[in-house]
Amino acid sequence: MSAQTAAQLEMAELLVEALNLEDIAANEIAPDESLFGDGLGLDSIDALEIALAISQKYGVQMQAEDESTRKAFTSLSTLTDFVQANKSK
Amino acid sequence: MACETTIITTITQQLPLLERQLNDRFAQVNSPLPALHGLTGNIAVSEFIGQVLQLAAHLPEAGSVINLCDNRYLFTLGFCAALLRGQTNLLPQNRAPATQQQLLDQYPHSYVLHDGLETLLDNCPQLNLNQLDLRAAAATAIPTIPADQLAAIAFTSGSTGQPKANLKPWHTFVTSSLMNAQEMLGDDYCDQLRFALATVPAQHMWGLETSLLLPLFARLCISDARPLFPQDVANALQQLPTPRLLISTPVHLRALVSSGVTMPQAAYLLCATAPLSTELAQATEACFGGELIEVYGCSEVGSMARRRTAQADEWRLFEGLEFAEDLTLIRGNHLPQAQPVQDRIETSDGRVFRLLGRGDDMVEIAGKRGSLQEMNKLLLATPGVLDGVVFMPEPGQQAITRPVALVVGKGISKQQLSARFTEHLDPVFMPRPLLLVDALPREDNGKLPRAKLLAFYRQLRGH
Repeated sequence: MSAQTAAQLEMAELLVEALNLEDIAANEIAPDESLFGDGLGLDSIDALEIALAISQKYGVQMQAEDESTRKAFTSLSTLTDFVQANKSK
Repeated sequence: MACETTIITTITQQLPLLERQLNDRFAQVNSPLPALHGLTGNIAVSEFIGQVLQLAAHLPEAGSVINLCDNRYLFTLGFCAALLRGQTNLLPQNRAPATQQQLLDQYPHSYVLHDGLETLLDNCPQLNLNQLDLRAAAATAIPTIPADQLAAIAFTSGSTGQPKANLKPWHTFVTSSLMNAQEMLGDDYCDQLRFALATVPAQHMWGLETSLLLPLFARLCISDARPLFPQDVANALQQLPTPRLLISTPVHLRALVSSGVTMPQAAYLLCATAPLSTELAQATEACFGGELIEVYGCSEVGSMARRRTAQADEWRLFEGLEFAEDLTLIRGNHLPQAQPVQDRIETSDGRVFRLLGRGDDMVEIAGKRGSLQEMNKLLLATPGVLDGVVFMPEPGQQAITRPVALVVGKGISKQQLSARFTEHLDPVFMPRPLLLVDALPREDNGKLPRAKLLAFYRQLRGH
């Protein structure tokens, strides 16, 4: 399992807090593990919660109709990259 | 009873597929659909009917169709084309391959209708709308459907955990849709054109009644979009002319209101599937600058009553429905037989009522009676509680079975929750255990069937 970057750890903490993943610590989420389906097993309501937390913390609004958002929800790593790229705009 | 005479007269009749002016605006298609060669924009009622006729000619011979189209407009085309071919729309609770298999076994003369379903069952009879050309000449007449034709079977969670089949003949939908139009939109439902957007899928009863059936009988132009994130909702609303109507659920409204995204004005909002708090109703009205009507209903009956939750606690029963004398049954013109009311009702005049909680809601502990609904209300109104449920678990070995609380919270501790309950509840009703969880096992439509909840709780406790 590859190590988390500082930005990924920050995002992992946001996920754990937003979704109340009590049984998993932020530093245990593998950067490339899939967030939905088999990995963390999140669903669309979770996606809504994550999007809400991201908008409140980083001011970035997710959009499902935007291809890059769909890709962003692949893993911790892609989600972090997406937010980093968009918050600087 | 009035309902019996109605059935006798409608049973041999033909009823229209829709009651709209042919040149009126029926739908706004935003996604480029292969079946329409990527055409987007407004679709008139006459064009819609032309496409329904075109699709009806493409459908295979069958008794029923498992309609799993994701795009709302294609779902509507499929639904109506099936009606014209005398096929029943089977509307399952989810799109899982196992569900498709179960329905194909149960209804052997059926097939899956879809628009590129990723979870399509291998080697099953199916038709992909994306592979058809549905462009067609505008129709000049409105088709009719036999009143007693079985239009749809809506599957819902039964109390035993097995899906329950709710049979919906076409006359049921026609009568209930006209009632819903009047009650949800008001006297001007035939006059005022509204532009509607729904965040709910069309397959479930609430989405079916509002985003598919209402546009057939009221002046609604429905968007094919099903936006998820707040910014998507804002964008999709922005693309619609005014006045706008937003059809949603409490889960979605909470996300929209707290997102910080500036929402375009929506003069009308409809919400159902789970109880809405007064606070959220008021915040929603402020956020959209419109009037929010909350609707109460169940799958057997459909929508039954409404209230403006921001201002009133009491529900008004829809005209066309009436409670039986002991308030445990409901009768209606569109109901073949009286149906049980799921909640206990308190009413002085039989029309305006309060919900006192589910029939199985009363909890008796140590000689004291409590209401689970009141505990749920208290829990959900607690700051920092995002979602939660208080329920009675299966009786265990303890002398007293106590309510259990499962809570999805944000920045709230167990201690704070306990303090909140202690403050408002008799100690015997204190939920124990009180567990913080990631999420409740809700279904796509936001519902939380008891069987699922109990299984989830067993899993949490590790047995």
